[in-house]
Amino acid sequence: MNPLLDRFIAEAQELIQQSASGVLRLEKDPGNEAVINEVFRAVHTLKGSSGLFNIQPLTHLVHAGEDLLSAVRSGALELGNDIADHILDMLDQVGVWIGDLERDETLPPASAEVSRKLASALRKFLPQSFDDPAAGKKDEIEAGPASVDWVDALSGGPEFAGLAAAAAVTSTPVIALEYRPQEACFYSGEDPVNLMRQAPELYVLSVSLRSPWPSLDDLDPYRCNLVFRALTLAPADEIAHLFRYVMDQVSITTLPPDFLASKLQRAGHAEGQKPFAASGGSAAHGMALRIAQEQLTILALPGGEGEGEKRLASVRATLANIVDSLGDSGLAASFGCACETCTPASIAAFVQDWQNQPRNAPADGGGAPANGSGARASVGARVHLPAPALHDESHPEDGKANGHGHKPTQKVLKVDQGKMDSLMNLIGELVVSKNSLPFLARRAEDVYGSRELAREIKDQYGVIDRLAQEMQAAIMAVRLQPVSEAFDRFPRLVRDLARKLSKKIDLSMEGENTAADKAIIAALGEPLLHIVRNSIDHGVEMPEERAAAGKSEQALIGLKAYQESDQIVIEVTDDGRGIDPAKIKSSALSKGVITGEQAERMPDQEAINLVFQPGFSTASQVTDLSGRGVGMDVVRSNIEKLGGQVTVSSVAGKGTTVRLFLPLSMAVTRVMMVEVGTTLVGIPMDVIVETVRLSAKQVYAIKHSETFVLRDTIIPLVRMCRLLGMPEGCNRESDLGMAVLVVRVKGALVGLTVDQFRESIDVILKPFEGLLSGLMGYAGTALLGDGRVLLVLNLKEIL
Amino acid sequence: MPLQFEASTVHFQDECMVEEALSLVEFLRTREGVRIDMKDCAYIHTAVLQVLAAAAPREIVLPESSETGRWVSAVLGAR
Repeated sequence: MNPLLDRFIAEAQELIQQSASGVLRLEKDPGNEAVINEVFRAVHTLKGSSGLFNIQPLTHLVHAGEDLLSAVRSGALELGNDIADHILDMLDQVGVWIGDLERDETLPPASAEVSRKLASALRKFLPQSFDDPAAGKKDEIEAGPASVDWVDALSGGPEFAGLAAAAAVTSTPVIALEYRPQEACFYSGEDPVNLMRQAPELYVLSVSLRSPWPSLDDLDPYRCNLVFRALTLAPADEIAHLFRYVMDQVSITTLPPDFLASKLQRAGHAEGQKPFAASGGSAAHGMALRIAQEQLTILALPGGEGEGEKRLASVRATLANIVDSLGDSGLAASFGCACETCTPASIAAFVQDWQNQPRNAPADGGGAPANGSGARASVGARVHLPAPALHDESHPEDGKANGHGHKPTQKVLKVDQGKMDSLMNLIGELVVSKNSLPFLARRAEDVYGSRELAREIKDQYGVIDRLAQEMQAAIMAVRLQPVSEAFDRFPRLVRDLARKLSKKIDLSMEGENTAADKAIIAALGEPLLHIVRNSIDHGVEMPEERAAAGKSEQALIGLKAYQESDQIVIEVTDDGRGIDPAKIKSSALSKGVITGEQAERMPDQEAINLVFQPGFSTASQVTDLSGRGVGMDVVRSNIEKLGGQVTVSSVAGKGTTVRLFLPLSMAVTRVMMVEVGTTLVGIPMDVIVETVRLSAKQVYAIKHSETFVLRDTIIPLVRMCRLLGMPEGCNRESDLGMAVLVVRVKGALVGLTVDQFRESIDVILKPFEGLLSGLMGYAGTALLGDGRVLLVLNLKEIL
Repeated sequence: MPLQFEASTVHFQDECMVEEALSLVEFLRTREGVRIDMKDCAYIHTAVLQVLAAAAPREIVLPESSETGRWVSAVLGAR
């Protein structure tokens, strides 16, 4: 498919939805200007982009809707239920057509008629006084056929004869349209050819030049040199409406239905021929055949129900007259056959046969090219535009194209967040219940002694496990959002803050498309805001100070997101003054965060990490940006709550980099199960460093505390059963030694004695709710495959 | 770029907007017997069509869309 059309379809679907929901809101709250504007803009955009394609019925219909909305917007009209209904009908119809476009890349044949009906229903609501640019031109539209001498010049082609016949048979007035674009029209954004393209039912078109083309060297490509002339059967007001913005450059003349036919006749007389002579001469045959062919065009014209019948009857009458006037008995006989069934198909077959009979081939060669032959590249300016394919009701493809009960297909689906969450919970349950199958297999073997059944259950488990995992991944993917959601506010924020502080700051953003779970993205906003504010406020120096330090006055703050294995990393860098470890130390010292002795021995990086200590702020004065006592400790606790980490690195005088490491998804947590006494508890995998086995000899007691040495580091040992308030001495030693889990909590290593290590599993962690929500020490619960509830510890709270 | 200039061929792609007219006319001024390939072109602004009409190139491949093609030939054939 044409990529442009593809884009239009996706855009249109969104615009339709947007407009429809806007109209619904307007119905409840008719005065809401913001919503009116939103709907108007959406419909206006839809109209504008639809103009790029050859889908005039759609453009016209949307146009009518736009006019109505414009009247509503200007206050000339109030949007009542009735109008809303019609606008919604219009949007529904457009939606159906968009579906047709997506499938067939073209509108169904009846669309012009449908469009006209709906559009006129819409226009009925327009107040008389409402500014209709076409209204002032009514006189001109109805002016007599005096000013259209150019019509003669077009009368040579077969399409002219066809139009003449169609106009005469259906008694439709012909519109002669002349469009002389201003020479400077390109500068006002006009595109005459594509404006003309939107005119419906153009039968005859001629393009001519105001003046002959100059040599290329003298050519001014931005001076419009074209004049368009066309004949159409579309209603005059529709044409007037299309050209309403260039009304001064257009003249529209309504010609009586038989006007063209009389022209033809006169032309025929001038050449000494009688076009409808009864003598059966070849010229008469040619003319008759031409008219007959045009009858097919008429049959194929789009029309509503019942209209086809009427047309068929009038076509049949016309053909009967022609055949009669020729006095050709063979022709009359085959026409009689065709009339027996009298379907569009039989009539078409008759005309086709007639055309193929050599004796009737027109001798002059000027008429009757094969129906629908396109213009050749080098031919003159006459082009027969609508060449609708013959359509036969009995044809199976047409049944499809007519599209009964066809719904437009949507590519983007907006889903309520609650539904998404419940889907998420369901897949969680599925993962958990799937885990019960291995238990079942073991039972089948142990209790019922059927090894075979156990194996089959395990096989099935493998399949379900794979499907569940894929499903989980798919649902996770739905929840992914680009980081740009969180980044988007920063360009504005940095600009505003920089101006406020009279600093010069440039913001660069990278990797905005990196995606992570929407919960992560949503929670990222606050901490990120704080870090960027810190950078602007404390990091970036005043321009003079920067110049003195030999840096460019313009500071640079960078936001960068990227994925690293199963983590998303967000980097905030600035090229400001950096963090001075000495200053941090002295500040921490004065606030009593560290002792003088600690300060002396503290390495620089550790000193920098002091910014994460609660109640620590180095800002010499409190500004309204940062330094309100909320420091990096809040950032850190927020990020840790999400299961992430924060690091700061800084070079004094060069700048600071803050890195946030976050999990891609929070939905599934990996925990390790351990046995403590008789209970099973879960420990989140991200705090676990390693598992070791100790013999009693390796445990040293330092005063009341137990410790052990692991690779030259002294690590405190905590008895898990004591921690959980279980009976003393429950931690038994096996032959292998004491099971110790080494974890990193708040940056320090701790060894936890447990009774047994068990496997690690993925769980959907559910936080405590209700009365239990205040319970400290637990991150939440998870359901195990055998139905037991696993308590997952939050070690930070209990150690 | 909607216009791809080669030694003796100009390829039109997707949407050729009004601003392409200038680069096209500048290119055509310096060459003779240029071939125009609009096969993959979906939309051509009037100004660009005018340049083609004035230049009367040696050979034109019409756009794949016959509707667009008819309009191209109509403008190129204007007298």
